[in-house]
Amino acid sequence: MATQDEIRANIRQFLAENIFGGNIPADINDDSKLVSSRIMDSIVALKLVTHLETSFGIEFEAHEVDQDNLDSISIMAGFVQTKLK
Amino acid sequence: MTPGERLHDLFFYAAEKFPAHPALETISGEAISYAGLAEKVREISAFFKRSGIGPGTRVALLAPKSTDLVAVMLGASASGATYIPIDPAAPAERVRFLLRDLDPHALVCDPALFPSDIPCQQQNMQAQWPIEKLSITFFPGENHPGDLAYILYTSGSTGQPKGVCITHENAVSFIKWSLGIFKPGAGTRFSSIAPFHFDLSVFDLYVALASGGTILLIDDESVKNARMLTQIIAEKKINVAYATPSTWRAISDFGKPEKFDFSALHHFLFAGEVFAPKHLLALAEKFDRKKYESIAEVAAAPRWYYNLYGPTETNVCLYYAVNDHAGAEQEPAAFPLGDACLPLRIVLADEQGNFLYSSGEGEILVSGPQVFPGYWNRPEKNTEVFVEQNGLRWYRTGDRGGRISEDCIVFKGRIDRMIKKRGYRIEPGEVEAALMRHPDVLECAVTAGEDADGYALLIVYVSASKNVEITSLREHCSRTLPGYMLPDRLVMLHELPKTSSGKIDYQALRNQTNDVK
Repeated sequence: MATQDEIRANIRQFLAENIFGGNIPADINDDSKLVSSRIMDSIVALKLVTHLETSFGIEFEAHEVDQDNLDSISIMAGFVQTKLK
Repeated sequence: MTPGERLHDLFFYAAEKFPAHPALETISGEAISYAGLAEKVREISAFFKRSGIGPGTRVALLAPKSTDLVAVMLGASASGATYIPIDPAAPAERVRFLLRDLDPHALVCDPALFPSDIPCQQQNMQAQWPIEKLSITFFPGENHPGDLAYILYTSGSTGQPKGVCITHENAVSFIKWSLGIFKPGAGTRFSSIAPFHFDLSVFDLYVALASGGTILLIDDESVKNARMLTQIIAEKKINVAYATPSTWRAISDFGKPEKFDFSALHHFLFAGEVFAPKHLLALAEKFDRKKYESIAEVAAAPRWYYNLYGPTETNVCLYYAVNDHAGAEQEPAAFPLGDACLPLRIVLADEQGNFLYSSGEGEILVSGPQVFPGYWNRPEKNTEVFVEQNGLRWYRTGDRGGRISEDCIVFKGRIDRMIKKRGYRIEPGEVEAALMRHPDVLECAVTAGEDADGYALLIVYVSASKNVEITSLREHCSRTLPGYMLPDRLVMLHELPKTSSGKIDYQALRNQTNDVK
């Protein structure tokens, strides 16, 4: 099973490619708010959900595609891990 | 059209005929009948009239979608006032600008969204105000004669949003055209996907409320979550759904539509931006009706796909339809804008303003009863967008079209720099004005791009006095701009490329854009 570090690394790489054009800026860390601060819009969030589903073999229910589960790298990684258990 | 007919009249006729029908539903299961809604509307309208809200006055609305908000819109209209839905998700600074620009007589507001530090004359009338969940505040707005039904704000090229004024005649003309084309029945189920400050919502609300149909109000959060939206449209058995191509694409790409039963959905409408046929075909395949062919009703009635073209200033003025019996081989290479919505007249004009009657490409001009009277408080802009010819007043859309047959126009791009993202109009000048207020930005240019999957992106080229991060620029812009106008990609340049005349060279920037993906 994937570790927290592996999940976070996977999410960071996705964000680097899909939001930041290659590299995560210095002012973004694992606890930076992405949805509530409007860094990640709804289309990128949906892409990320699909990406996490295929990377980790999990499935998000419709109501789980939500700011509460997606707002930062650490929140997302925690959520993925609960799905893996 | 009956002379003098007004938007709310269409609702009241239907309410007389179908009092027990459900008019509005919410996804949480709340519902109100035509009779119930009509009673609420009369109560609100009577309150407005007692409070001096009537012809020539303006009622601003700042609240999320709800059955109450629809009642307030109709109540304002019935009192003779003009209503103005403001995006409840807009940043506070933008809301304050809109209220200053609008000079309203009343603000009906979700109390949690009430903008701080605006001067107002608050009257103690809460006891008689019939809507418990929304507050009302009065202002000393200046009366303007006229017959405006509503005003919708859209992006402005000079750096600030501008209000598009729509009269009752404009709106009723559009609704009557829609009723004639789509022929909804008293049991037809409509979705309300677009927010009320976006003109797609005018179709959802008034075509349904004029025909005895039911509208399912879908909140903005559920719309953004394509997986939730897909489930709602299927499970709530929506018959007519109207959304931007971006929303339909999100349903197709992320909503897993193949898991649901869409047999009820027979009208599939889109507007606001170009829908590439390949994306539409991908969606149609996922909504595969062959699954339901055992249902005789479904097999007999094809599903229709409509491209409804038109800026807020005219609402829909061109339309094109295909159905799923047509087969993929008959799909056009690019989804056309189609033919004029009668009784509107459409012409193409060349750069000198000469009308092109038979062939060629040119700017799309519109004349007829749906064409708006002008922008709110922007006389200089009105001079720019209207031309008089052949004894008619024509609105210049700024869109370029080409005629492929006598009754079919195709889209050929913009005559200016306006960008479409998620169906919204974005004037790069408005985003650039916001960026220039950042202390480190020396010069900037906003262009359109796409991500690897073809979703629109705003690409920002900046030269700055020191290195700035995209996150800091987005945060700065998010104080004044709505979400869809925030930059998606940042390219730092020492200096922006210039043409020989010293202007920013957008062609050179566009060439760079191709490398940004």
